[in-house]
Amino acid sequence: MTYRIYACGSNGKNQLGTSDSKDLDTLQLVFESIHSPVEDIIAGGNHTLILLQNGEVYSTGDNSYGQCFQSPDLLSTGLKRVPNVDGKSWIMGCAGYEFSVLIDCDYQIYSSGLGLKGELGIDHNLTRSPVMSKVNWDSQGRKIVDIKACLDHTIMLLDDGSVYGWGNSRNGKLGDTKEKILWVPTKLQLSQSVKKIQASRDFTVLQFTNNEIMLIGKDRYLIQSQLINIKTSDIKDFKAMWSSLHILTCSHQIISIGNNSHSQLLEIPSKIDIQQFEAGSEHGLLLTKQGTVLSWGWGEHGNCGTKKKDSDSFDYLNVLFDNTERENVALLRGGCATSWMVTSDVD
Amino acid sequence: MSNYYDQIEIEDMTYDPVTQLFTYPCPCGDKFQVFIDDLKDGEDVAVCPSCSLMIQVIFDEEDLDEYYEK
Ligand SMILES: [Zn+2]
Repeated sequence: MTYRIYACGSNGKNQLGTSDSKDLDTLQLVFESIHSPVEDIIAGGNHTLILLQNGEVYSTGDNSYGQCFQSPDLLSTGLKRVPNVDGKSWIMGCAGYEFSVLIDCDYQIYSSGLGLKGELGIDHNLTRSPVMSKVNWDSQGRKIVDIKACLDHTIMLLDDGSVYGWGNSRNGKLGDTKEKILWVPTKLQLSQSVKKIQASRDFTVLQFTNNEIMLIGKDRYLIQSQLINIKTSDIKDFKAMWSSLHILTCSHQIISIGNNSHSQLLEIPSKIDIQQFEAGSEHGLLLTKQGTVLSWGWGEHGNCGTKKKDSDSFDYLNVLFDNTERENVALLRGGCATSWMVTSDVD
Repeated sequence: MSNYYDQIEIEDMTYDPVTQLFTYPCPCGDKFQVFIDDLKDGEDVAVCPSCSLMIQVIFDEEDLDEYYEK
């Protein structure tokens, strides 16, 4: 079986992993994995990590601060393998603007890059780590279920329903704290157990085990107050762009709340059967039951595909990939004006 | 308002006393930027060198004094 990764969008720092740094407005094949499915594609500000299910990680893009886990004298790279530490598989990771975090199968956390607001989580007042460094955190036997980052903060969900976070804690996006910066992983003070997390630019979104969704942090677009109109039992999934929240309901509808400056909140026609959806920094991607990938929102860098109108705002669903008999779409990911698609061969 | 991608408060931006620029991350991966002297002159728009997006900087003129002292 061959797994293929296609990408388009902003590429000024080679974050798409192509041979040059030109933006692309059509999906281009950038990586092939013959031996292992793709687990995740992790997009930072101008860099990208590819995580395979066999525990290998590859990185590309801006490495000025070591955020690609590559040698500090490489300022920008094409796709290169990131070493495993002590032979342990990587199982998950996240990336923010100029930093990256990887977790191994023993739940050891490593980070690298630049983090003036505590993004590295390594130690108090430590703002730069050009090489991979261990985050000093004791899991106390608990497993990490998920980790998410946006611009300058990281949140981590554990199997006991608790959430830890570090980075910029101004405005409450890492919970109630007097500190403006949390330099090391710190437990968020929450009244209930959490089952799902998302990180956005100014806020964090938590879903509790009773399915209720809560937004913590700066809520400039009054998203929380509009959540009361959504039945909690109707929430299937949710994703955040940098300034909006998008909720997939059990009836395959997307409810979008927040900034609509570039058609980020485009209404998705109910006839479309949504199988998967993803949020980039200010654009959205969805996979239909028929296997077509559609995009909307801000697409100035080609991340929503080729323009049909003379505007960078896609106020319509644009076809980014049309179903073929040859490949199935396995995964979609959105980054900072970048779009990613993983396919597998049809048997 | 409709011309701006977003409105950002000045305390959420990063100030570099060497370049005299206030910056803030742009969703394209680059940074919005505006000189402190331009804000002083009444400008309130920060632009991104890599794309067409603009933000409106929310500040009071007296907010700038603490940054000039840096
Ligand atoms: Zn930009």
